[in-house]
Amino acid sequence: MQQFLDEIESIVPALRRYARALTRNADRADDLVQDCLERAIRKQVLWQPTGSLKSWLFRILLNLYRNELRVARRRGEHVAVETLLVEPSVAPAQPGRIALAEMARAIDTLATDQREALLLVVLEGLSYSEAASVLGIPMGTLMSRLGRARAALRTATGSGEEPRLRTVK
Amino acid sequence: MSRPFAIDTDALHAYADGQLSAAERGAVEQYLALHPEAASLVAQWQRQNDAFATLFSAPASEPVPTRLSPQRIALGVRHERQQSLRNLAAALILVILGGGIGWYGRDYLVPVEASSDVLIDQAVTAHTLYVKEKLHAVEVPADAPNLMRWLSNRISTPIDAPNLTAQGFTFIGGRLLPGYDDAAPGPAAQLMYENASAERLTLYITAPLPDKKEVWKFAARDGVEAYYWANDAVTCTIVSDLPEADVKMLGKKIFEQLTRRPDSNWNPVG
Repeated sequence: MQQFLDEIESIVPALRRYARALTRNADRADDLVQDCLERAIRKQVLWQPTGSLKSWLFRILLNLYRNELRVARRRGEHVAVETLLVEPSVAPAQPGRIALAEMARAIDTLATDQREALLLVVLEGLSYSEAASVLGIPMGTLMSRLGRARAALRTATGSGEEPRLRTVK
Repeated sequence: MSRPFAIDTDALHAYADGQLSAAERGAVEQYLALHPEAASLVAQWQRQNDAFATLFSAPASEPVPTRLSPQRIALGVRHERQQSLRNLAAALILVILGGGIGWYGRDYLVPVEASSDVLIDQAVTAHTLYVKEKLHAVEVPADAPNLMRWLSNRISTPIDAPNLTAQGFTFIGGRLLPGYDDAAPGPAAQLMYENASAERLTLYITAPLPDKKEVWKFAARDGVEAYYWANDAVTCTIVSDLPEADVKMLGKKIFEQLTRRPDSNWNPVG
């Protein structure tokens, strides 16, 4: 039990990061994470030690997030505009600022399933197979979601023609 | 990626996401050197990735609020489980206790018919049984000596037959009737009256009930009407099929004489 809890604890920062990126709202994100942890600890017996604990936790988190979306959609709930605007974590004077804000907005325009997939891979650094298992989709579907997400972001940010985003690699 | 490595779109994604082995990375880099368009695409993806990191990484390095501590949550869950176990145990004990009380207390819990209802039933039954009799309507006729002393003794309550002559009713006699059950255990005296048009009226009188409470009731049963009252002197049920106004008027007189109280206390309901 102790080991299980310690392992969970080491994953909490990643869960918070992912939840925050999904919801763009610190409180809602932490609520989701708390729900997720409670559920995981309650259902500890259901966890297959063969699978990765991290994948399992992310799967729970995602399901909770989707449930919440469904409920919100059914209620016709509107999210306040300001919660959608992300505060870029860079100083305003830096030249990357506009591009980042633009990127944040572009991410918001992505379809939910593309956003979920992209964030798992890019932000959380999950391997493709892990991400596919968290999302419960075949690898091919994951790859096509990633491809579509990246193409959509390119279009939304106009980064193909955007010289200021071009940096020397 | 278990299938043989080929440089396709998936491989480019994997390269941008850092999911390739060193050898595969080398192969992709060679390819990108020869294909500037692919290289520019991959570079864009990588910048997207960087933007993601810049935009969203912060929460992972923030201090974790205590409410997200797994230890704490586990503690809460454990307490909750203990609590629900305790609740379950408490519920079980209540069920067992409840069952026991229900079983052993079943005699006390069966609703007891109110004494007044039993007495009214008895009075109505006796009335309908005996008013039909022409010759043997009463056990002891009114002119028999000591009739009222006898009935008074038997029901352990001093009573006189109310005089209803002024109302046109003659006392024709009475009889002693058995008690019924726990609700009305004592015997009862039935007094019968008759008027010129052969309409009959009976009084069903018993000793006061143990609680000596004042109760007034009116009930219509089996085509006759019964006025009932109980107090610390007596219980009396007047049964007849006379018009209500007559019964009320007679009732006053009966009440006054039986309980030796002014008829202003006569208070029939209904």
